[in-house]
Parts: sequence; C-alpha cells; structure tokens
Amino acid sequence: MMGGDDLWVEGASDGAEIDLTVRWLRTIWRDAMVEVPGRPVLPIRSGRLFPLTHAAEAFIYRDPASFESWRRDGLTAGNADAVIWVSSHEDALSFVVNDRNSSSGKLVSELLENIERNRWLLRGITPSPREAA
Amino acid sequence: MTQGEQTRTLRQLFDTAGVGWALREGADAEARRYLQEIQAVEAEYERLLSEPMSSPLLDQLVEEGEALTPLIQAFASTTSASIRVMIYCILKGAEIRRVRYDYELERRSQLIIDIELSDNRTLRFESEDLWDAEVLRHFGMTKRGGRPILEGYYAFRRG
Repeated sequence: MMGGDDLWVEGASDGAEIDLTVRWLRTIWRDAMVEVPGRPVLPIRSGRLFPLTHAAEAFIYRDPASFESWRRDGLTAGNADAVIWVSSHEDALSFVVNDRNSSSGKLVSELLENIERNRWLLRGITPSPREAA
Repeated sequence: MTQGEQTRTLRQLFDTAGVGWALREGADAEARRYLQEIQAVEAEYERLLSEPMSSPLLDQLVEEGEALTPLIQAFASTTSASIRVMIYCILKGAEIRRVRYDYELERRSQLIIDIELSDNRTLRFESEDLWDAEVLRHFGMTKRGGRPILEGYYAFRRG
C-alpha cells in the first residue's frame, strides 16, 4: 500500500494525460515496469504497452528490481521512492509519491508543469466525464 | 464483412472520432476510398517494417477505436500513407527521436521525422507535401531539465 505525498493538476483529466505521463517518465526511467490494473505488467519500452489513453491509473516502478520488491514486500524503506502512482479523476490528475522532496517527487513536480502546458491538446482525446454526461 | 457493413463500420468509427463529416450518409464511393487508404497504410507498414501488421488495420481500428482515435482522424485529413504509418507506430509506443521541418514561402515544405521502435529499429519518414506537416500539431511537447522532449501523438478535441 502506498502512502506519502499527493501531487496533482486540478481540472478534468483523462487517459491521454496518463499516456503522456508514462511516455515522459520513459525518457528517464528507461527500465521501468508499468502496471495498469486489468493488464499485464509490462516494461516501459514494450511494444505492447501503449497507447494508454484508456487507462484510469498506472503504477510506474523505476526498474524490474523495484517492481519485484514491491510485489514481494510491499512498501519498505528501500523501495519507497521507486514507484509513482498516477490516476485520472473528474477533477484532477493525481500522483502519489513517497515524498515530494524525493527524486521521484521532484520528477513528478516537473511533469505536472508539462501536463498543464499540454492540456489544450490532451483534453481532445476523450470527453471528460462531465462532458460525456 | 460486406461492403455495406464496412461502410457502416467506417461511419461509426469516423463519428466516434469526431470526423463523421468526412464520410457522408450513403457515400459508398467515399467509403471504398477510405478502405483502400486503410489497406495502403497496411501495405506501407509492411514495406517499411518488413513485416505485416499484427492484424488487419480495420479490425484494429474497430477493436481499439478510442485508443487509435488520432489515426482515425488522420484518415479524414490528407496525410500520406507513410505519415499515417508513423502515427500508428507512435501511438503503439515508438519514440520520436528527431524532427526537422524546413518551410519557405511558396517554395518548400520539407518534413523529416525519425522514430525509434520498441525493438530499437529506427525509421525515417520524409515528406515534401505540406499536408503531412499537419502532424506537427499533434505531438505532446514537454521539457525535462529545460531540454525539449516530444512524446506521444494526440487527437484533436472532438466537436
């Protein structure tokens, strides 16, 4: 079970933002493993992972050892900073990291600014739940 | 699938992708042209990657219509088969490695895009057709440490 700090971008979000999130993290965590509920866990550079425009959430583990550690032991002092959880909501795109001042927290902080700057484009992927209602 | 079924399938795909205007009711000739263009993308993919698509593209568009919305929208534009293959590859996870665009008023529109597939193969797409430059409006534009990163290919807002 994850704990830690919540970081978010306010406003309706959708899978396109999760897609961009994972692609952006791919440029840094080249050997990450990505877990999307209901789908197999895949390497971040797998040809079967994308697009993620339908995902409601994703767990991005820094590398295979981190994924295996989380799977086996859950949260430990050694793996706490090795996972980022992103989820899409009607009112925000939300991230959970161990600590906003940790390396993963700083990555997410930089990512949030990128997501905000791309919202004019990304919100074109699917209607928000409000719009679809 | 009969011609009529294919036409209805296409219309539904185009409607869902927000480009239903591109395929009018009863326009079977238009539908046939789009079906030919879909087949042309399959052929171009096989030519460029030296392997066929995992399944017929029309089937993929039906099964993954939401996820492939940007590609469906590309059929309503006038992009070339080669550029549509590039869109498909990026949607499926390819990384954008290099983009060069050279434009000069009434003289030149030259687009060169290199992408890297998940198996580390690099593909180059080149076009001097202005309409293919439309793809530049769909890339996710980000930075990391101040350095530019283009990632992903995203659809226009549906009307």
